[in-house]
Parts: sequence; C-alpha cells; structure tokens
Amino acid sequence: MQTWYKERKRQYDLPFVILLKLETAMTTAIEQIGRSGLHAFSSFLDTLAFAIKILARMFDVRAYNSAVRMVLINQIYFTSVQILPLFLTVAAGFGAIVIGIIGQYLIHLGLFDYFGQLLMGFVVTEFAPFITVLLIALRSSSAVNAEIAVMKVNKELNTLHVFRIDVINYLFLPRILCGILSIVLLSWLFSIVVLTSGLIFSALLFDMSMNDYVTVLLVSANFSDLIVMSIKCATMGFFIVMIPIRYGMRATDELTSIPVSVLHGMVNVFIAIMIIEVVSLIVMSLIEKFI
Amino acid sequence: MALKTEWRVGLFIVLTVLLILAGLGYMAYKKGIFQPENTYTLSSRTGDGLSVGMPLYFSGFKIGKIAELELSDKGMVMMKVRVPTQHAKWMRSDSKFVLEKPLIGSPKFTVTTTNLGSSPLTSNSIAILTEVNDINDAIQNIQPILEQVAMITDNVERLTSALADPQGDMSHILKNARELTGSLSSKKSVLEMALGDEKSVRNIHAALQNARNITDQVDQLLKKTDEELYGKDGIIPLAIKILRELVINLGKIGKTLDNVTKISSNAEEATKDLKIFRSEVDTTVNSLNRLINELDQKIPFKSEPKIKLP
Amino acid sequence: MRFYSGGELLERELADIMSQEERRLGLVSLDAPLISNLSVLSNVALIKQYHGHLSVREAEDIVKMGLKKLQLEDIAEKRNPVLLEEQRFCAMVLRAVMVEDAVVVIDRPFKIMPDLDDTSFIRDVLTSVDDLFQECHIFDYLWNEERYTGGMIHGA
Repeated sequence: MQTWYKERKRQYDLPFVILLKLETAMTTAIEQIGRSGLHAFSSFLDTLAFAIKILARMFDVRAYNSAVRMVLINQIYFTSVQILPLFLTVAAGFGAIVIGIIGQYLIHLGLFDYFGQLLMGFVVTEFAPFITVLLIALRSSSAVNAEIAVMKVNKELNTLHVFRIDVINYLFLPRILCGILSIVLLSWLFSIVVLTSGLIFSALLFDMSMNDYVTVLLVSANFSDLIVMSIKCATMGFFIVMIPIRYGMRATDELTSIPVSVLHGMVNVFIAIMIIEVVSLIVMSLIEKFI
Repeated sequence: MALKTEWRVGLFIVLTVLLILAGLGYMAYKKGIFQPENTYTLSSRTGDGLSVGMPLYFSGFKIGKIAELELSDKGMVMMKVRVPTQHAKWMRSDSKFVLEKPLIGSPKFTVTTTNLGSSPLTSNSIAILTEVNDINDAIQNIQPILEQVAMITDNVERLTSALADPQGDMSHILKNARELTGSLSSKKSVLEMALGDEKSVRNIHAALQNARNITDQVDQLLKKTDEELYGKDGIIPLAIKILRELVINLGKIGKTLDNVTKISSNAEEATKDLKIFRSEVDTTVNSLNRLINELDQKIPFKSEPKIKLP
Repeated sequence: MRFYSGGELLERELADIMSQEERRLGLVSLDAPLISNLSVLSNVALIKQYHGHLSVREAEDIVKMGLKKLQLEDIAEKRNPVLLEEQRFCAMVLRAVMVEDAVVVIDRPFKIMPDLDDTSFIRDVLTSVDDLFQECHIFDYLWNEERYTGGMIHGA
C-alpha cells in the first residue's frame, strides 16, 4: 500500500514531472541536432560521390554520342544564347554603373592609381563571375531542377531506363557540361563587355584616353588571376547544375514534390556559390602568398 | 530548327572563344610574352626572399623575371633570369643585381647599370646578387642606440640611488654648501671662503703681486737698449717665459675655482661671489696672455708700441 | 497476346519479359512515356542516335520514313502533351521498333487509347512497321479479350 502510494506520488510529483519533461525535451533536441548533422554530412558525402561519378564520366569518350551532343547544344542554346541580349545589356549597364561609381570614389579618395587593379581584381575576377553565376543560377539551375523533377514525376526517367539510355550520360552530363561552358564563356564575355563599357565611360567621365585605359588594365592584368577566375567559373558551373539535378532526382511521384525539390535545390545552389566564392578567395590569397 | 540551333550555338562559342583568345593574345603581346628572351645566370648566398616568377626591375620598370632557382654543389643559390631581348641592353657586365628587403613590404629584385657603355652581360657569365636587408640594417643601427639607452638608464638609476643615498656625494655637496654659506659671514674674503684656506689666498695675492712687479720691470726694461732687450740672454725672453709660467699657474687655479663653483652651485650667494672672483682671475690671465702675444708680435719688428698693463 | 485476370499478375509477367528481353526490348506503355520536352522526331530518333551511334540527320531520316509509313509526317515536330491518343501510340510503337531486332511489348494498349473499340488500329499500325521488329507481345486484362477480334498478332 505504502509502496503504491510512493510510486503514484513519484509519478505525479510536479517538480519531478517537469524535470522528466525537460530531460526528454533536451534529449530530443540533442538527438535532432545530431540527426540533422549526420543527415547534412551524409548528404554532403553523397553530393561529393555523385560529383566524382559525373567527373569520371565526363572524361569517358564512350559517354558521348550524337544524342548527348544534341542535348548539349540545346542546353547551351537555352542557357547561353537565348539569354545573350539580356545578359549583354545587364553587363553593359552594370559595367557602366560599377566603373562610374568605382572611378568617382577613387578620385574622391585620391586613389585613382588603383583604378586598373580594381577593374581587374574586382570587376573581372569577382564581379563578372558572380553576376554571371547569379543570372544563370536564377534562370537555368531552377529550370534544370524543375525539368528533372517533372521527368521523375512523369516517369520519363523510367523511359530512359527501359530503353537502356544512361541517365547520367544523356541527361546530366550535357547539362553539367553546358553549365561549365556557359559560366566560363559568359563570365569572360561579361568581363569583356564591362571593360569595353568602362573604356567608353572612362573617356566620358574621367577624360581617360584609350591608350591610358588599356595600359592601366594591362599593368594590373595577371594571367594567374584569369586562370583562377576561369577555374572558379567552371567549378561554379559544375555545381550550380549538379545540385539542382540531384534535388530534381529526389522528387517523388507526386506533383507537389516538384516545387519542394526546386526550393531545396536552389537554396543549396546559393550555399554552394558562397562556399566556392570563399574557397576561391582563399586559393587566390594562397597563390599570391606562395607564388 | 536543330540546324538553326546548332548554328547559333556554334557561332556563340566560336565568337566568344575568339574574343577571349584575342584579348588574351593582345595581353600576352603587350606583356611581351611572345618576345624572344635572354637567359642570365646569377648566384646568391641565400635563396631567402627569392621565388620563381619574381620580377626583375630596372629603374622601376619590370624587365624580366626569375625563371629557375636551384642550389649548386657549393651551396650557392643559382638562378636563371629571363629578360626579353628588347630589355637586354640594360644588362651589362658591371650591372649590379640587388635584392632589396624592405622593412615593410615584399622583397624587390632590381638591377642597376651606371655605365651603359660597358660590355653586355653574357649568358655564360655568373653575376652576383647582393642583398640589401632593411630589417637587418635597421636592427644593426638600432643596436648601439639600444646599448646607449641601456647605459643611460643604468646611469640614471645609479644617479637616482646616489642622490637618495644619505652617505652619497650629493649629501656631501649639500653639507659643504651649507658650511660654505655659514662661513660667509665669518671668513675674511670671498677667495678665502672659496678655498677655505688663508694660506692659499695669500699665495694667489702674492702671485698677482708678482705679476704686477714683473710687468713693471718689463716696462722699465723697454726703455733700455736694443742689445739688452733682444740679446740671446736678454731680459725680455726671460720675462716672457716667466709670464707664460704664470699664466699656466693661474689657469690651474682657475680650474680649481671651477670645481669649487660647481660644488657650491646650490648656494646662490656664494656662487655669485665666486663668479665675480673667477671673472677677475680670468680677466687677469687674459690680459697677461694678450701682453705676451703683443710682445711676441712686436719684438721681431723692433717697433715701439705702447704697452698697457691691466 | 497475353491476357491476365489481375494487374499484379500482369505486371509480374511484364517485368519478367522485360528482364528477359532487356537488350531488344521495345516497350509501348504509359509507364514509359514519350519525353515531354522532345519532339516526336527527337523522341524516336534518340534510340538510333544512342544505340546505333547515328548522327542526328541519319536517325531523323529513318524516323521520317517510319512516320511516312504511318502517314503521320505532320506530328514529327509535335511534343507529347499535344498529341492525340492514337498519334501518341503510333509514336511509341515507332520508338519501340527503333531498337535493333526489337521485341515489341505493348502494355495494355486500351489504357493508352481508352476510346478504341477494337484492335484493328493496333493491327494496322504494327503491319505498317512490321519490317522493323522481330516479335510483338501484347499484355492486357482478361476482360479486354473480346476487343482483340482479329486473333493473335504475330511478329513479322
């Protein structure tokens, strides 16, 4: 009787119950953190493994045939050629604004000697790739993500499987190659357009002759910076297409899974862009330090 | 449709690649990458601060770069420097290669050529790279200053402790100064007070009296004949000798008085008196000096100037 | 022609034949739809391009000939969502016969074309391209048996 009473008291004793609930909540929270961490880590490893698989396939000549080439051409057309009028306008506009602002500030601060370094170091190696990757990510990454998710929902991926068409070779490889090629070429194009509009605006705003402008640029231009810029663009191009493909593949048979997969894919694309930006900055600083 | 797409994509890729290549090509051309280069060999005691790709400057202009760095069997750092042929004219046999290591900033590899007429530097010859290290130089320059600062600090410390020491010199000085001030009223004269000895004062007075007597004698002697004056065993050379000795002796007294003045510098009034006394002695000595000089000047010309004694 | 009383049994049998004839399988099924962002021409040509290593032009020429046989040249540039059910079926059959020595497996044709009364259309289509495949297997439910009036359809 007494034992029963004590047991009931223990069960309904308020501080004890609160402590018990607190303990349970904490355990759940810690478990949740651990689960999320493990999930993030496993997802990162999966992405890395997938990237390695794609890279390996990229250098396999057998992966390429006329069907893959056709997809590649179509992708480049939709990603790079169709966007060109908008892209060139944005490049010229941004270029004029950025060069105008930078120039004015440098004159104001008495640092116009650094004009060339800012153009090459900031506009060409940082600004151009970033704006390009942003535009392409917004336009094409989301499209690729949605396209793959729709194909998954529509069982079109099953079609490819039934007809023994390798999904990686036929669907992913040309899209990723297109991402790499487009970002690299468009970044260069962006830089060229920005520098050309800079030439015009420097002449108009700062009374700078073409010869002076070119000399200032050439003095600051560095091949290693341009190589690092191109590698950065290629890496970004790779990931801003590969990540949406992965998230597109995660869509279920339900139509509602399409927006969810696009949402997750795009968030991860922007995280990847930030990570690559930071890594490239570290690499550039290391190159400057050791070479 | 497909062909049209292919054509557009092809055009885009070709044009963009051509544009990039043209830009890179222009950049490479302007940077002199396509120009033929001369390779020169340099040796350095150390490879510290040197790196492959490091630019070589001439008068602030980049004219070449380090292409290779390797360690020789003798432990010297051998480097190959590539210079485009258009800049090869600055590389002469007597050119000086310097690695400047500034206190702030990265090292700078420069070449200076003062004589452009000297023979060109050949690819076979090995030039020596010297190092100008601002950091080490600065440290070397600072080292003696630091030692002096340490000594000064040491001295200041010693001085401070000596000042504070009740048995120290300062305490003695203050004690002496007090005694000196106290004796102001009781002593017979300022000189006696300063020297603290009646006998010494008397000696000085005697010396001064002697000086007056001697100059009087010199005055009288001037009235005598030339033979007597300027003879080998004449009186004037003897007088000059005596006067010189007198000046030396008075100078010694002056030094002694100087010391006394220093010791009693805190006793304001005593110092005033001593200063007056000192100036009197100085005036006497200076007058005697002038007298001797005039004697020295005038005797050889046998003129008859008027000699005024103080 | 194989008839099954239930979907589960039918799908199991279908899976069996698909795995047996994996390399020569030309499936006509709603579970293997046409790729929606490709035209009929590209959808069908894809098989020849991918497995036959033909160029786009060569593959498309073959497809165009097939479409001509089916008198469906006008659907060449159309995409899946705008096709009529019969047109979609024809495109899927044409794609299936593009497989080398194809074993055409038609999965529940009345599911693809629900408005069809009998198999005469199916027979006509298969007859038009009978030189392009080895065998043809039709899988359907038992209750549709009476719609197959012309008896067993043999491969060419």
